[in-house]
Amino acid sequence: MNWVVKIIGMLFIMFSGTAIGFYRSYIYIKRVEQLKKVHSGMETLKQKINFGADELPEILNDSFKDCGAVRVNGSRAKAVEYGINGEDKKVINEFFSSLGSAVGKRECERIEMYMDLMSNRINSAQKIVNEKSKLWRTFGFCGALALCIMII
Amino acid sequence: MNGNKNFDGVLYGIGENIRRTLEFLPDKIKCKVQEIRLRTGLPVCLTVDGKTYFVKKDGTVCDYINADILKSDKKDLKESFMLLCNDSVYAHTGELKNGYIKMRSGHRAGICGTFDEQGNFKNVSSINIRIAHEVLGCADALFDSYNGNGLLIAGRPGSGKTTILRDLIRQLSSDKYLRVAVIDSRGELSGSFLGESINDLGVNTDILMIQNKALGVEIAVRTLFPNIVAFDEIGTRQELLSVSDSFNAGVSVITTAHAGSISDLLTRSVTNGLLRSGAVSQVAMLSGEIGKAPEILSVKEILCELGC
Repeated sequence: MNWVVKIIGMLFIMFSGTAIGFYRSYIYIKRVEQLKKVHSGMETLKQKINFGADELPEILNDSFKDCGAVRVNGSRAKAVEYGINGEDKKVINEFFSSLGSAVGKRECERIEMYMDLMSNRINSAQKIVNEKSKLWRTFGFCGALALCIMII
Repeated sequence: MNGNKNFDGVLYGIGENIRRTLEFLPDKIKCKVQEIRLRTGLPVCLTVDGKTYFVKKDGTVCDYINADILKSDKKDLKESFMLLCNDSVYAHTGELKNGYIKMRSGHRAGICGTFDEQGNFKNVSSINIRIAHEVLGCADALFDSYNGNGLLIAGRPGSGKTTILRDLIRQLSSDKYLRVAVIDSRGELSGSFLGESINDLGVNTDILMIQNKALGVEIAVRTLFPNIVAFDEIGTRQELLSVSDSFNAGVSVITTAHAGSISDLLTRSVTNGLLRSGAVSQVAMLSGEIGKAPEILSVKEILCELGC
């Protein structure tokens, strides 16, 4: 009976450790996904401003509808910590804070500038994914395995 | 009560601090307000029946300045500007270059500020919100004496040229069933907002929203086959040429011009050219006094009197 409990316990530890590893890994991947969606939303917004010149309440929601990290309310939008980190949030909120305050061409140039900033952030986030994502997955599994061996 | 509706309809474009006070103005004032003026660091002014009044902090008005006067600061003007633009300055670039923003319901806000070398608009220093009034029947006298040819409605700023033109268009379109093409460059005549006309311009009227009025007249003559082309404020040589062309194409033109007197009309090159082109045969001079019918003059007589 004792060994059955041990095996169940070990399976539980293995599952939990691996899950934690995968979850930690997913956090990095999710950040890249969300930053890419913000970048794509900025691109859409730029195109809409450039060619349609509709007002923000009409185009803002459409541009960021797939982006969970951005909450739109009329002509205002703000970033929430959904997959992104505090620094990303700060940059995105800075973008939204003075969105719409420049005349046509300047507004597009401003969006392009923030798109470049986002591209840089996506690149660095992707690097982190490459470095840490696999590490966390392996660490979760190996950590759990080590714990199991210790218990045995 | 319609005046109240007009007044309340423009409050969305005024910063919260000022708006809260203006909301409490008496109804009898609200329905007569023609303009709301905000200037950086200066009292909030209202133009009522052509006279300037100051708004007090308690929501009343007076015609002298004292300590209780409500003043607008830089923050109020910036906030109002962004509200007028609906947080989308880029969408109003063309209008801003001409010094105004088109508001909902056909009202117009004149904006003073700085266009820097990079094309940015900043440092808003004053905002003048003009409340358009649709006065049905105000052009009755003019409608009765209108001979069907070209007509120039002239008067000082604020004398009601646009209001009379709007009502004349409505009557010509709805009572005589004439095909009227309206070139509405600033949306003041139709009160168009998002493609929907708020003001009644009659049953047989086509509205062309285009910034370039001269081009608008050409397009209207070519594609809409109107009996009459109407537009507000003739001011450029190009517009004069288009009007002359449309006259030669058999289309009558009704337009307006800023002028305090007949001699002003003859002094300004565009209006002088318009009178001499033969495109208008009547001039309606507005005195600006409420309820007073315009003075209708024949262009031939005006030119003969001057011996030209």
